[in-house]
Amino acid sequence: MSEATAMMQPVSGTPEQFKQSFRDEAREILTDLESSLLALNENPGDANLVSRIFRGLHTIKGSGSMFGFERMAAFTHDLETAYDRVRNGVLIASPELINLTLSAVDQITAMLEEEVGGVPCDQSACAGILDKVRRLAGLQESRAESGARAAYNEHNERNERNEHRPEDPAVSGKSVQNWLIRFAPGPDLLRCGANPLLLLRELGSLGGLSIRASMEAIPPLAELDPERCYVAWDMVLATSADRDTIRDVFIFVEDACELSIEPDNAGKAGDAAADRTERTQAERIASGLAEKRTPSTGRRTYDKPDSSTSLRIPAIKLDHFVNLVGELVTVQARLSELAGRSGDAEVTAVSEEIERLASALRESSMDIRMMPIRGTFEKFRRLVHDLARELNKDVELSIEGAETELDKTVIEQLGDPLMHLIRNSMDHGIEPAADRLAQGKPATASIRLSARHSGASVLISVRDDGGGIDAEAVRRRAIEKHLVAADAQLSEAEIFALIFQAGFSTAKQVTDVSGRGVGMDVVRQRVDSLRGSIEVTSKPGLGTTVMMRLPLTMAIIDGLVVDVGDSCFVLPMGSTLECIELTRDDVARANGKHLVNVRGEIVPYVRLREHFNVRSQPPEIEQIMLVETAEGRFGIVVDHVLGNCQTVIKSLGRFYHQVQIVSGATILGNGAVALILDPERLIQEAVGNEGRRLNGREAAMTGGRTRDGTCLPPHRAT
Amino acid sequence: MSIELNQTGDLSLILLEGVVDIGCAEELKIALLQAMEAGREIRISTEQASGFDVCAYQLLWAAQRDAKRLGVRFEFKGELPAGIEALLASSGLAGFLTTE
Repeated sequence: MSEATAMMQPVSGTPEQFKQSFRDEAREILTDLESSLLALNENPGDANLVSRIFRGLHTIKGSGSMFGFERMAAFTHDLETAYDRVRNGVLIASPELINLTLSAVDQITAMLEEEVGGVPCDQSACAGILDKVRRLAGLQESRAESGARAAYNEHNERNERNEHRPEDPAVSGKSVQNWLIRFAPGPDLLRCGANPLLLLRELGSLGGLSIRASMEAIPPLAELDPERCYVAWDMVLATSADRDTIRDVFIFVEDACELSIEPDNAGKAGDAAADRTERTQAERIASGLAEKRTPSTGRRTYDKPDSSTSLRIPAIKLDHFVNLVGELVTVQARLSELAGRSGDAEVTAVSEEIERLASALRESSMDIRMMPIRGTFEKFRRLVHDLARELNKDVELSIEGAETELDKTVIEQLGDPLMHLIRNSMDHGIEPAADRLAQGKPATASIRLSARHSGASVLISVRDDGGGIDAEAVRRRAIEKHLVAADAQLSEAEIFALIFQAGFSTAKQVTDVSGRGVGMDVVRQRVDSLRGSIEVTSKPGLGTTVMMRLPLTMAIIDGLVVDVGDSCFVLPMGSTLECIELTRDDVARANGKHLVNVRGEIVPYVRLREHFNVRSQPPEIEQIMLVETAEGRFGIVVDHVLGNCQTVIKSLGRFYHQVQIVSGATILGNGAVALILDPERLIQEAVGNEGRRLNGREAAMTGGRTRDGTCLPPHRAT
Repeated sequence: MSIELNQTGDLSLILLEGVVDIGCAEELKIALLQAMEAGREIRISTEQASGFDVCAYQLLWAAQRDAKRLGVRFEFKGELPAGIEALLASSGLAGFLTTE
């Protein structure tokens, strides 16, 4: 190992745990880089975006090298330099540079993921990107290609010689400010593989750094934990860089250290640069910082309001935690059952207290799983950008409701359906610019991604202002493909629902983007698997909206326990509106039809007893659970409502995968297993069965439908 | 990396070689404690060292301070390699470890 290499090396054998942490952080930086690049493409003169991009590249390079991603660091070196030039007004952020940088981000992502099973980066593509970037930026071939660490070493060597200050005010013309910085590594920082000395060196690259190491906390040798960091640093940094840029130096260790970055209002800018070695200066800073610090009740006080309250946790740990909460909820239900049977007031009181706590814990754990959908939405900016170039269409993506939160499992499953919808929209929905202009539309088309809460669901829509769907063409195609009978009477919604059938496509031409009829059925399947629903509305010439309704959470639900004969079922509370009685007289008044009058509204219902072929006698008075479905209100008739429960959804496994009316199973307090019903699917299936039984008779007679998957809304009584 | 402790009379010589970091910090601590107990003089040879991290630095600093308190002579033999010097300087740690 050469000396230089050894010096750059983080502490021995970078632990995979810390590398993974770097990957997690780097993914976020790369996502942000991509968004910033796309935004810069729209607003070429935005200095904040340029700074953001530069900082992202700078962090990827510096930290990449620190954590063993030397090739990534070297590759990023010239890109960083190019954006330094853009920042300093020497170079223009042309679309060509932005597109090259986007391609570079793809390669950096590949470098990041290749060790963990990702697609390896394309070396020749990397070389090509660097060549073009250098040509655009007027750079000589850097030492990046002469060795993995060369560029980073060069960067650091220049820092030591006080050359190449990215924020050199002489170049940037920005004003220099002094910052008081305290950096106290946490006890485990060294065990994670981080090397604070390299961070300090990186910090020094931002400007003039005056530094004082604090050794007071180092205990006697015999008591010293050799793997713990006891040294802290007080510094003054004279730089034109802002607080975020300074903080970025510590981005990968900030959760494991005490970090304070304060502007030095007392000190003159540039003092530190001129006085790098003067101890009195550092001591003044140290004392200034000491005044600002919380009294030493412990080391880990932390001044970062935006992230001090957040903690990064591996998803697998969170899933495990939620599973445990689920088990607790199940056991608590059993305890409640036993307490109720025991009749012991004291036991009942404890049981109720545990129930209250379990409920609060359940809600908290669910809340932890909730994530804003922003990250998923933002990824599509790149897709739209690339497809627009590929298809030679001018398309603007707008995003609404990016802060809408939903379960992380749902978010993880949403990427593919949204991608299919956007690709279809861009390929088939949006017209070429000339056609749009001829129709009096703006040349730039619009795709709007939006999310909003609606009760216990989230509505996610993809809306375009393209040509819309030709309902008649869809119908003809469906008849050609024998998906519907030639004389079938279909509503517009039913016709649009056909586009989700496997193999269905009206595209005149199969392209690389879409048109093979593969995709929309996958969208439907994915939404189904999430217990959601999807609908399409479209107006010829005006555009199409695809709306997905998805549940907020997938793991635990509030449910109502009902029974039919000896069987218990759970209905999700979120879709249940109310419970009313159904007497024999009510049935007689409807002439045996499955309709009931609910305060003037005629509501169709499904009898679970008949649907599941339960042979026992129903009680004199049955219960109708009114549920809200995508198509309106329906009733589900059961024998009794036994009570409410927090229900942990357990999968029924692959064997029952096709039984769509059951979304899972749960264990009740008495140990019995109850199936969790999906009211939406149950209604669809029941109505479909009824439709087939009536063999084409008018749907209105059943209060239902003509075909699977669609339901007529309930009738208003007159 | 290697850490070698040679004891001759009152003199304990600790030879540091390669990168001295968290991977051998426990070993270095044991060597320093043994040296502290054994003799009246400790000498650390850093000529063959190519890298230090904070762990190594803290141990040497603590040993130097303890030695002073106990009246044990503590010295560094030879110059610190330039790379180590530079890194320590950029971290505000230069000058804490005194060489002979």
